[in-house]
Amino acid sequence: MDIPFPVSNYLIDFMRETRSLAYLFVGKDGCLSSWGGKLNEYGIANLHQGEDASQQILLLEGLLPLDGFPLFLPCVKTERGVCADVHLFPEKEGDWVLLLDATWDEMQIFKVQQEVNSASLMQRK
Amino acid sequence: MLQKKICMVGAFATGKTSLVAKFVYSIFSEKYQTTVGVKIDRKTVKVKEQELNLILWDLYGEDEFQKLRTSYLRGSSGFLLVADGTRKSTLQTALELQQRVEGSIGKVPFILVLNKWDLQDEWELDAESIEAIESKGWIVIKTSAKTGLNVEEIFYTLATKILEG
Repeated sequence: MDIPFPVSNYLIDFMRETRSLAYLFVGKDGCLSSWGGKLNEYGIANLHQGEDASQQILLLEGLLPLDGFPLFLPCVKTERGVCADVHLFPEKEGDWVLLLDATWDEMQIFKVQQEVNSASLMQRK
Repeated sequence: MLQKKICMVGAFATGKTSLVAKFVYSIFSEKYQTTVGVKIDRKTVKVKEQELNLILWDLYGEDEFQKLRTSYLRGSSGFLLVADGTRKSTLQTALELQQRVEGSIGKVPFILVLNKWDLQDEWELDAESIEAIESKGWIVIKTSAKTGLNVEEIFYTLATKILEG
């Protein structure tokens, strides 16, 4: 499907503003190659190009390099306490890591899950 | 520094988050708060004279509506399988999860953690079933996130097993 440039541009702006779009590109050797977007929102700062990515970004430990397939990790809460949907997908030279704020989703799921689990625990008593 | 990813898995409300909170922040709360998705924490430990960063992935507890998402387990060097000693059904969940984790990431070190030992008057697990599990060669440790009993021990024991390969 061909998406007209104004549409894709609008979507990118929308994601950047409402879901704090951020990205990283990690080479197949595990070293951080490039990055951008709102990484500060997730507590990711002071990055160094060419150095081990998982030493700089904790959540990447053990995940990369990918085996050729994308990976989706919903609602990953970082040390900063911000919840992110993490999308990882491979390319020939390395792997892309996308972060999208999932705070709203987390809050909605929390309300339901907390109620259901608490009710289940109460039922036992 | 050497880093190892460790996952906390088990049924809901078994105390996974409390064990991590006790270990990393030395805090405990009586209030149950469900985990959504996964919460990542870090603690640096010294095992056999070697400094090691433990990257702790505290996964949401499995319930009848939500099964374990195995993509979270990728790259784990070991895991803590947590059951609530006051709820026998959580041991069954733990046994099933062990199979699924192994099916997903292969054989890695793990420990069966029987939490809430501070509530031993309400304990539902009998000695025979625990012995039966130990006889399979599993490491089984009773803990209390509330009192701190064996909390450090489970993480250090697992870290040691991981380093031993």
